[in-house]
Amino acid sequence: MGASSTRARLETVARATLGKKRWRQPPATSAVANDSRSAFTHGFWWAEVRGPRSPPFPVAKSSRASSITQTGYLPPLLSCRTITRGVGVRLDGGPRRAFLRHDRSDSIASVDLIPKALVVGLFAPTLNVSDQTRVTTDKINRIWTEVTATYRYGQLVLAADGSGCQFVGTEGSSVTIQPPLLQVQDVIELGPRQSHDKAQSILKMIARHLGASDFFNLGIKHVYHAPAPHGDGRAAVLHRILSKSEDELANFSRAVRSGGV
Amino acid sequence: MKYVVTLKGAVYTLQVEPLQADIRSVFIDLDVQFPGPAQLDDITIKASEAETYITQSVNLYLDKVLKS
Repeated sequence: MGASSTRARLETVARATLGKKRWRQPPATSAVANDSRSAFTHGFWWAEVRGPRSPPFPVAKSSRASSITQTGYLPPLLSCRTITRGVGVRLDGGPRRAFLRHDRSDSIASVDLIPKALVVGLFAPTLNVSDQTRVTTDKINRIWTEVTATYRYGQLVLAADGSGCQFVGTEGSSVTIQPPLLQVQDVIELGPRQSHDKAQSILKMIARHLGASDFFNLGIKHVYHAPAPHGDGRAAVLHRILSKSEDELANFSRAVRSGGV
Repeated sequence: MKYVVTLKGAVYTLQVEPLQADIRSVFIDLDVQFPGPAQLDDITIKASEAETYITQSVNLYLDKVLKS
C-alpha cells in the first residue's frame, strides 16, 4: 500500500473516531522519510490527535498494513509528539484482531518538555541604605495589597523586625523580599511567557514601592520535566545521558558553546 | 548530569536528573545567571532567552541522546 494512501486512511479513521476534536496533521511524508530514526523506517505509519485536554488521546497506527480497522490509545505518559512503536492497534487487513502490546524498543521522536516552575531573582543593593529605600512594614503592606490585587497569594509572612517578608501562594509560588534579594518563584500554570510577565510585573511593583532603582546579578531558573523513554528516568539518565564517551561530550560542549546543539 | 557553559556573558547551568518523585520523568533544571547590572524591563527578554535555550538546544540534545 502506498504511503499517501496509508496516511489518508489513517486520517480518515482518526477524524471519524474523534468527531469534533482538534485534528493535528501528521508530518509530511518527506519529513518523516528523511528522519532515518523515525518510525517510518521501521515500517510504522502513524497519525495523532490532540484532544481538548492532556493525554490519553487517540492515535491511529498501521504497520505494513493493508487496511485500517481500529484506533488505539497511547498511555497517559506519552504525549502527542511521541511516536511509540508497538503501542496501538495492529492493522493486518484480516479479522478485527486488534491488540495492544508493549515493545521495549519504543522510540521517542521528540522530547516533550513540560514547563513546571520559574524562579527570577536579583539583587538590589541600595535597599536599606537610606530612609527612602528602607524596607518597612508599611511598605510591605502596600506591596502586598497591590500584588494580591492581581495575583493569588494567600499568606504574608513578615520577618520579626519587619525588614523582609514572603508572600506565599499555592503549590510553591512565592515572592521573597529579603534585602538585598528580591525573588519571585512561580509554578507555571498557563505557560512560561505568562510566568515571565508575572515575575517582571511583581518585581516592578516591589521596586516602585521600595524606591529601588539599581539592580544586579539577575538570575533565572527554569524547571522542566520530560517523559523518559520506557518510563524509566533513572535508566535514561544512567545509560543514555551519562554513558557518553569523551568525544561525544566534547562534541556536545562545542555545540553548546556555539549556541546550539 | 550537570553542565555549565557561558553564552554571551551569561552562565548557563544545566542539570538533567531522574525525577525521584516520578521515575517516569526526567528533571531538567536550567539556571541562568546574568552577572552585572540588570534592568527590570529586560526580565522577560532574558527569561525568554533561557526558555528558548531549553526548548530548542537542550530539547534537541535530549532528543538525540534519548533516541540513541
